[in-house]
Amino acid sequence: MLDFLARRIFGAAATLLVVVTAVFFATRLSGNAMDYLLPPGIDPETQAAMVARFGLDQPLLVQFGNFIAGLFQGDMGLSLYERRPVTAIYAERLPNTLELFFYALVLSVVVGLPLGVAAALQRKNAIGAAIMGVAFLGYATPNFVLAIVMILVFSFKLHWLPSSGSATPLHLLMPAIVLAAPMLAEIIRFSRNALLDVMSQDYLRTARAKGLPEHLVIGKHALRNAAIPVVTVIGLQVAGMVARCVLVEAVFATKGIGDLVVFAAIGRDYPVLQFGVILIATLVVTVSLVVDLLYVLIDPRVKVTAS
Amino acid sequence: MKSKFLLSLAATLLASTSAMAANLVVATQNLPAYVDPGKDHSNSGSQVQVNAFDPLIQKDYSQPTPTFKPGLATKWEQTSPTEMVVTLRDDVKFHDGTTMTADDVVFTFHRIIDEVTPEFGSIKKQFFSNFEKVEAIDAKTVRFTTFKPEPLFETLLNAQQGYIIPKAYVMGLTGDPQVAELSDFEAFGLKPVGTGPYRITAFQPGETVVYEKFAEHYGEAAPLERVELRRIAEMATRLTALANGEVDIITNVPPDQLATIESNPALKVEGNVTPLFHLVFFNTENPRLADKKLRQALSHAIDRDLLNEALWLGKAVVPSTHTYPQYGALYMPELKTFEYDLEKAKALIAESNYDGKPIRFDTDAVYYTNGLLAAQAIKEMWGAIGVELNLNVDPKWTGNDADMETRNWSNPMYFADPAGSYGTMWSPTGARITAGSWKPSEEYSAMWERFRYSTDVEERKAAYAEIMAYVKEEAPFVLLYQPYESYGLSKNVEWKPLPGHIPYVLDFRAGAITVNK
Repeated sequence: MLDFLARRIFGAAATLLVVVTAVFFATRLSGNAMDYLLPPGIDPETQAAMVARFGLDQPLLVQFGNFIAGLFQGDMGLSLYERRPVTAIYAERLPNTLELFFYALVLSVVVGLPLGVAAALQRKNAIGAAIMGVAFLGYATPNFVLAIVMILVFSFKLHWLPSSGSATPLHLLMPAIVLAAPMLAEIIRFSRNALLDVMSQDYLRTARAKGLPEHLVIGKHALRNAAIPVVTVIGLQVAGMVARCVLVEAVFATKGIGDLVVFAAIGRDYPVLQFGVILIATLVVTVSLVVDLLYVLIDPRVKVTAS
Repeated sequence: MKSKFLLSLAATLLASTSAMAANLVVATQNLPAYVDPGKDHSNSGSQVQVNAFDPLIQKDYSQPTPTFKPGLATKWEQTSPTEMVVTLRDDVKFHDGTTMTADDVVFTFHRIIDEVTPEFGSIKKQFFSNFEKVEAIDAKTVRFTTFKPEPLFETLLNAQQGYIIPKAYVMGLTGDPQVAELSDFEAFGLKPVGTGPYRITAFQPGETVVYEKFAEHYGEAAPLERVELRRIAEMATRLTALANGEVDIITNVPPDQLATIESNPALKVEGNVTPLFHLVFFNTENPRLADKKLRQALSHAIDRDLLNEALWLGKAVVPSTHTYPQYGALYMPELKTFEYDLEKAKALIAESNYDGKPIRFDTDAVYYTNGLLAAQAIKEMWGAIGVELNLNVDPKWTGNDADMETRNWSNPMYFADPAGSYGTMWSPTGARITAGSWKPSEEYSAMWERFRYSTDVEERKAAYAEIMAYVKEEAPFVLLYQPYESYGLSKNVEWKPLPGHIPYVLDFRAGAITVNK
């Protein structure tokens, strides 16, 4: 197990290094930060002085060397825009995004799993069809459309919910729903299909034959075996959530890392962008690691081998 | 968890139905990365400083023309053309509780004059390049000395860039409290302290500014207990927040959204024509635009009144020359520097050496309200005289590039004198000439010297008229209009932008705002 963990962590670190290198050079290909960060009409001398001050006039490889050296010392650099350590900025922003992710995750699992089970059990009647219809709708609606429609209905018309910001959990309700929608739909779809697969297996017939009540047949024997594809989907969807939060946070003016990364990309704030990508990549890699470990817990047949 | 949820539900409902009296929330399109008046002249920075800081010399902002009045200084006297002696109030407290003295004034100005960071250097160039030194004569008297005679002492000492900051506080922020390190100035920008009626109690760069009433302010007390500025970059989200009662004022409302706001019985619109020009400039040093006949033709081909009607509902002001009412005696609308004349434009283009190939026009997609739409309209207008415009939409500032051809830009009024608007951009030390996109003659520099440093108003006016005639002939740029800047407000807020301010200032000091909640 430890060996497995060590290999996975090494693999994750290698992935991160590739990501970081790609991000470093891709951002610099997009132009000089000071062409974008200073007010239009800045005089050329001030512009040159600012470029020199942030070391952006040094050869690219020297800049990259400094960046990597800083990375290993835990120094992620200063934001070119805010002039303070990027780690301090993310420390302010990350909790909002994680809170949003948490609500979205809980929402989609708590609502999605029962609906998926219901859709499987009621597959031959209108309830099952209705659940699947809603699931497909949730999956097919682009999140920016859903976001705007929700703002229009719940803020603009009904005045029930605040439209922007992240001051209270209530502010996070609409963004969490929008973020959760495709994940919710996926969980419904996959849990239904996985359960249907399992329900045609011989051992369920055996369980019923030995007189187990139906709720135990489903709850104890079927669901556990249907869990693996569902856990995989949740893992994949968390990565998708990172991508979606960029848009959702912009629309709802949630002060999280998605909003920050967009702002940094537009303004060519390289250090903020670099650290954002490292953070997001770390999150995705960690989630996939956790999913792998969950397989072991869910299915005793999955063994960690030291090859 | 549940109780937290209910609690916040209650809090939100409370806040959105009838916010506590004297508490104001403003949603802005942008906010600055730091709050340090001495190293900022950005549109986003100009919004926030006025409430927390004071200049030595104040002004009546309810009028466009300048009437100066005591600020942190009780009196000021120009003892010679190059010297001004200023007497300070002795009851001024900074927000950190310390008392302002002459040392703070010297420190404030010398961080700019000594160009502590490149940003201070930029401010020095545009505002205080004539300032040689600032000395404390005693604890409440300060002497300013300039290199050349300075006709603009009052105007410059009123500018936001001359807002006074506390020396001891700044030096104590990082490292050795007896030394002003570079890091002290960076730290100040994140934890600003001034003398204004509001102190800044929370600041998140680019995100939020929270002001609270400063009880020990020497002057008129702040009318509100608390004001929060909150960046909501998306226009639709800003508008929704206003309609939903989450915020009381929103900024940067484009003209096509005004009807939406006005149709809501709980909301209203305020606005003003800002002392700022949107313009198009030409890189006269690029061989493709070196022929002034071509530039004159392009200038004469732009129907600016049509742009105003179509893009600004006729609310913008189309100027005949580079002048604002805020200049007072130097307001010269009688000059005719820019005009639309299609026939003349066609004649000029025929006489010019225009090579028939497309001319590149650079613009950002969103930075200037209606900037891209205006560029698209200008493409049609230049097409009418046979010039093809090749639109290049890019957020990059290309104005310092040698291969730049034409682009849009804005000229804000940094301080109320032609030197503070035309001069910062087009004087011999201004941004365009130092960038090398315009190289006027020696005589031009002489005209500028006469205009800038003469202490006789009539002589200054005559020199400015000569400068404008030169601009008309050389056509390095054409002014489009002064935009009409609109704000959306809740009906229970009485506020509007004051005409005496530079653009975008959100003034919530005494007399500027009333909230009836």
